[in-house]
Amino acid sequence: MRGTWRGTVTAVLAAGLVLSLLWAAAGAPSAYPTRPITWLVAFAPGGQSDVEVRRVQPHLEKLLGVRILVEYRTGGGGAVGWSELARARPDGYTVGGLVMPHMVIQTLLRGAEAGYRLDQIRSIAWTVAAPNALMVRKDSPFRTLRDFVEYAKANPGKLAVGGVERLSPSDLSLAQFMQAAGIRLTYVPIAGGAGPVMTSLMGGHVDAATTAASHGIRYKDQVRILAVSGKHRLKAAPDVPTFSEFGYNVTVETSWGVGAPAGVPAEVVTRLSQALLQVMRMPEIRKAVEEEGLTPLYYGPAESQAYVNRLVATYRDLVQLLR
Amino acid sequence: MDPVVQGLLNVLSPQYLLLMAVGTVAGAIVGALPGFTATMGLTLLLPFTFVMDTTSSLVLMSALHSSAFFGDAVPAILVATPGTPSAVATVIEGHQLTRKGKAHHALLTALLASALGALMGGVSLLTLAEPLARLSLRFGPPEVFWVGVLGLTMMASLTGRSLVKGLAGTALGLLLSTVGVAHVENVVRYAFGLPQLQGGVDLVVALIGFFTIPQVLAMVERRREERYVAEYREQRGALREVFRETLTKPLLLLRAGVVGIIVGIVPAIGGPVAALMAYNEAWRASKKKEEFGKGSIEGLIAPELANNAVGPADMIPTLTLGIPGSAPAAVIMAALLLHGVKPGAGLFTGASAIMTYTYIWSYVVSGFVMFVIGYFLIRLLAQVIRIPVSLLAPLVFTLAVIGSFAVRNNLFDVWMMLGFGFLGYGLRKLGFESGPIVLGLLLGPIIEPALVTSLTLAEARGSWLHVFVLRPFSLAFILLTVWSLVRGLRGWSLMQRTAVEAEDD
Repeated sequence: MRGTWRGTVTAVLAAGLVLSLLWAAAGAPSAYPTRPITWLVAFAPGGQSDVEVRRVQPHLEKLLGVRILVEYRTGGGGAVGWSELARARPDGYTVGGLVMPHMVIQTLLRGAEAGYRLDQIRSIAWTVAAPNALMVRKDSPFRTLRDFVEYAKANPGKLAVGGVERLSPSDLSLAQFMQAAGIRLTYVPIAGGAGPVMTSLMGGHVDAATTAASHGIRYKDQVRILAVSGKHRLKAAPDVPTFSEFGYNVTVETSWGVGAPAGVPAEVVTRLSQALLQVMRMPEIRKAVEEEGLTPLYYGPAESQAYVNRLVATYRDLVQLLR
Repeated sequence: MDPVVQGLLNVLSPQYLLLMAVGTVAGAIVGALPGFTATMGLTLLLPFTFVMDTTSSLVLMSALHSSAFFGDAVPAILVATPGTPSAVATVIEGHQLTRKGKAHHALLTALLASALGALMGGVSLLTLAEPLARLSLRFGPPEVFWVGVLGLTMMASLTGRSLVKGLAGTALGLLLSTVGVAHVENVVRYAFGLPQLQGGVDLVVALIGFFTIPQVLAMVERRREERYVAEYREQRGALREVFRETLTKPLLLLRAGVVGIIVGIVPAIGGPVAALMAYNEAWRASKKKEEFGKGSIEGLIAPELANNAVGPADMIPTLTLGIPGSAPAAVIMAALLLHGVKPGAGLFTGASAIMTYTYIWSYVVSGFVMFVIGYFLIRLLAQVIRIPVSLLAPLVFTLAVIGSFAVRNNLFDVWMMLGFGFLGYGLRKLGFESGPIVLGLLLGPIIEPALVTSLTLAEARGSWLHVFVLRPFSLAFILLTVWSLVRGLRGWSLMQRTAVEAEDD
């Protein structure tokens, strides 16, 4: 009796082993991804990084056939999240939202202490960008950028311009503007992100604000955008001039993208970037992005690397401006 | 039909009531698990809302948002662990009540207080959204600074025997809050080169460390004399008594509600501060100050009511201005944006009006749903007291470890929690209460950035006076702070005298 039992059990186990091996073997050639992907967000829920992942999440899940698990790793202006991304296993199952110029600034400012190096993160795609805008309240006496500059020339340091913390796109673009126009403004760093910056402006606590133009679009009933950075006018605000139209070369803008730890296999990069760009090209996504005052970027893997390199060079000089 | 009325009718329909019930249960669980915050619960819910219509998503989220601030009272009362930081003040009186054998009573009180808070917050959202939103815009960095300073004066109610030790504790808390990246300046402080410390000291981790661990150690210390945390006595008519006790104190309820609502609309200040301020207010106005610290019902009602009123009040700037007043509000706003709805005046008129008012009413109604579901949950949960300390202590300890890991998926946080735990235990033996330390930790990140921003503003304006003092609300808060300081000191010395007298008897 016992002999038969042992025999039966062995047979069943052997069969199970063979079957599972067959199943695994059958599964192996199937392309990435085969299990859920973790997406690390380096900033707080509700912020733009969060909005960007939520924008693509449902469509990506359908395209890739696996779930995307969003995890927040906030702190250090993004450094905490990006260090974790840099240290994750490069198997394609951990990706992260990237934000420029924050990523570059952290490393330029803090060197090794930032916890990651740019070469430890592979950029896969950059999806949206927001130029920076200089805004005032609707009831402000400044109707154009020229008015603003004139007043600033006559009253150096008197105008308080709010922005997001220090050494952020807000700070840097204002520094570029001040240098280009030869004026002195007082930059007032406000903690907590663009939200508090906008409320400070609308509540009359600062004279002007500088942050991503998308916020100015959102509150277009209460604020007036004097100018935006970058080369082209915003589709969502075609009447708003760019700084360069006045001869001020203000180039700082914020952009959002996706990356993975360096060393991630090429097929992962290809698959992910294809899927991401496909989603971003969907008409309803493109429409939503433009309505929010953002510019869609369609940078795939190759352009992403070039983009990052360009930004590193630019910001290396810019950060000097502020030191 | 008027959208306001339609919204109410909607929310009372079986479909939405069911959604609210689901949200309430989920919220209570999320709130009750230390380390899990309402924000996390809402974030987990977000992908599920993609397949639902906007109104249903909002109703579900509001129910979760609301009941999380009841759920957090459960571990606070039973095992001295705040389920979310907003329950920090609940621990003080709630756990003392448990030790006196009144766990069931305390839980019911917390439930009723939470339900009333949700009701009051919901009503303020419904009726006063517009004026309150405009008010919230008037609060700039200098106002936030002064509210933070006002918060520091609450130390008086938390300090126990020695005022000096309370001050020292608060200072320690403020110091701890500076660890990590400075909020405004982009420098790293006290990180000792460790990337894990860049993120600073997390509030939940510190709370678990300073409150739970000392309690667990105390439980272990007393295990020979007290085999159980407290005697479990089934109390008949507890519900009626709770109603009587709570509803006969309208001023207490009103004060706590107002504190919660005001804190909700002031930017950057959240649930934990509201709870502590309400606690302090209740203490200040109480005729029975000697009960505080030993199981005061007033001291339990006030924070629980306030922390539930904050939730809907947070939604006021979120819905009207599109500026999320807190992390949970930010997630709800993200949900709105992803459903293609833009916050702002347009929400209250036109096509979105019915959806908006359904959502707002759901906060009001969540109080009732919470009460009904909570009542039955409590009967179950109070049984935890029947677990002997020899099992309960390790269980709570395990929860503490899991909870502190869950916040940032960071093992380092667990070590920090343990460090704070032993520190808190030792300090308590030396007469330093944990309350002031946590107060400092809470207020540091509020006061410092506001101060730095205000100072920079003063540079531009060329005058300190104009920025820090000569503003209507700043002035009001300064006066409030002075008054609070005076009353606080007087109340504390009164408490000392009656305690001494009681000892003499």
